[in-house]
Amino acid sequence: MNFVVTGLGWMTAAAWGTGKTAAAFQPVSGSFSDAEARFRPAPPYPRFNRMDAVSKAAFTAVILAAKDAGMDPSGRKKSAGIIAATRFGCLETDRAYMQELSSREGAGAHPHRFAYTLPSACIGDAAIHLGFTGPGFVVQEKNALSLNGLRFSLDILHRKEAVSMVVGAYDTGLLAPPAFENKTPAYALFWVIERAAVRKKGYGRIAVRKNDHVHFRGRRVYDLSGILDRIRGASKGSGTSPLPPLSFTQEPMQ
Amino acid sequence: METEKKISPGVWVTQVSAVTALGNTLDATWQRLVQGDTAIREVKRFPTAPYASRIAACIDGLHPGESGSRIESLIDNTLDALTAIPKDAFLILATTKGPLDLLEEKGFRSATGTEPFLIPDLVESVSRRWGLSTPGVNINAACASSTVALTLGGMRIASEKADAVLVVCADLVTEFVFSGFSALQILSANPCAPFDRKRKGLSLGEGAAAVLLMSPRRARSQGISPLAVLRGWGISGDAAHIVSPDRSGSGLARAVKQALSAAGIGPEGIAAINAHGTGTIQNDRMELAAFQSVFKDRAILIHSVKGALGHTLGAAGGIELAVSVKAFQEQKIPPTVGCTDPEPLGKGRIFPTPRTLPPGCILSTNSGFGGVNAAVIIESGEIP
Repeated sequence: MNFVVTGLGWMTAAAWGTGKTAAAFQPVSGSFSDAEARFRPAPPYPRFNRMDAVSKAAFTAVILAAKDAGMDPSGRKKSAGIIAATRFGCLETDRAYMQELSSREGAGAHPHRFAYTLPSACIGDAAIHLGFTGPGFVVQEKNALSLNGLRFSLDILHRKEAVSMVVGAYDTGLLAPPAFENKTPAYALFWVIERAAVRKKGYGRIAVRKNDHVHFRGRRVYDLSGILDRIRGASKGSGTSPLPPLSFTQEPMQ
Repeated sequence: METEKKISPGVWVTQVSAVTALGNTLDATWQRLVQGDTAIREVKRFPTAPYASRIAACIDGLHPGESGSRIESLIDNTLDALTAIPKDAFLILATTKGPLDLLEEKGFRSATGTEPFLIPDLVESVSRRWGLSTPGVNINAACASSTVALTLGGMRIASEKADAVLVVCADLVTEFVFSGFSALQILSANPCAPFDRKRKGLSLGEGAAAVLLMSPRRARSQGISPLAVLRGWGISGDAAHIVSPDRSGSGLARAVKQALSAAGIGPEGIAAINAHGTGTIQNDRMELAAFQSVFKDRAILIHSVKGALGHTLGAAGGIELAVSVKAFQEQKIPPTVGCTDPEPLGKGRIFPTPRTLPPGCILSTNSGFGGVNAAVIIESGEIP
């Protein structure tokens, strides 16, 4: 079965964008807050300003990817799901919640903050905003850019348990091991993947082949950054200019 | 869409184990479960005075593991009961908060130094200590984590991408989580009473389960027989509310219908339901509405183990699948401890005493924050 990458959305500590500005995706050290302060979901999402920083970033990248793929931005129900990979997940929120709990001896633990001590809360928010009624979960692993989440999403699409899957990774940019002192690049990066029978055009075909190897545009990729690099490669020299969607005739499956 | 779905050829459940507050093995848990015992009692591990409840189902004598977290020894105790785990098994852990006790006690730093010990570290640690060839992943889908993990494992095998998948599900009772559920005002002051008209909320519990899934081809080649067969699965999203279920139950009903479709059976093929049954007003009402929409007025047996074991969060679905395997072996459905006066839609379906299991499959469901619902269907391994 053939699949197509039909949308890309991303956010860093400095900016946000879609596949059209993939070349500008450059994770930098720091937190998401500066970029988030300027971002406004359209249509508005009432809970957006109540989400924690990393959840806002993942939420933003998911809805930008959906927009880039031309999906209906309203909350009308649709057969789509979200798989997000992360290493640190909601670690910052866990620590903030624990601090609050310790300082107030439990009396003032905030239910709102507690909801975001689940790394899957942000994809729940995105699913509500976009009306996604398919599978939604988080994959936690040391290398959040590995292909495990992507393979799960292709399994789901292959078995026709959703029409579209948004898959990607996000991570916080504040607390890096070993000592939780140095800042790591903060990023959220998501793709929309659909069956080729559903959507004909996109950034290129993606498939799982022999030995569970993932191929994008006919060549093997080893992690999610390989897909991004290939899309950015197509936009080299164009800076942040629009990246035209590629059709199957331009990028045949090999 | 659903009519196009692929029918699963069946994924074999070849080994199961569980450690709960009711017993340190699946057999011990089952014995007390069918007797109607509950492990929910006063919490000694941390002060409960600030909270809405003082009770939970904690495992006695659960000591910190190598990392300093109790979850490591909980998982080790669970995996110790398995014989011969294939080295090439893909590990899928299912925990919502993993080694959270380390955050409470040491700021997530492990006992051996300043290195942090987070969920991805736990995954690698389990894989390494049990000699698996790949590091594996953790699946976090709130209280549906285990059932989603079982579904993903089933899909990997059904898609012929893996021959063996080891699903390990575990969560602890911590003050962190206890305080959060208390703040959400869904903790019951008394032991939870799933599906009872007078239920007041949930009781937390801790526990773990391990489920080894294998392709029939691989298992046969090693002379292994199935304990049960994972026939179908479904995952859906409510797209309604972040911490409350869709009251209509339509999201869960969709997951159940997907699972039936994947299994290639109709509602009449289900003999009993091992429900999420947390004891909260909203969850139990939603579940009964979902089951009513799928099974209509049929007097199908429904039960929840949470009145006995507490709500074990990410571990719930795995423990419940293990209990369902025992239900097939013993031809018996355990009681719903705490439910003496069921909701109207539960009358004639939910009982405070064990019931004989009729022929057919068992449906097991879980739902969680974010509006996620998951359902799996298993049948007895003794069916040819």
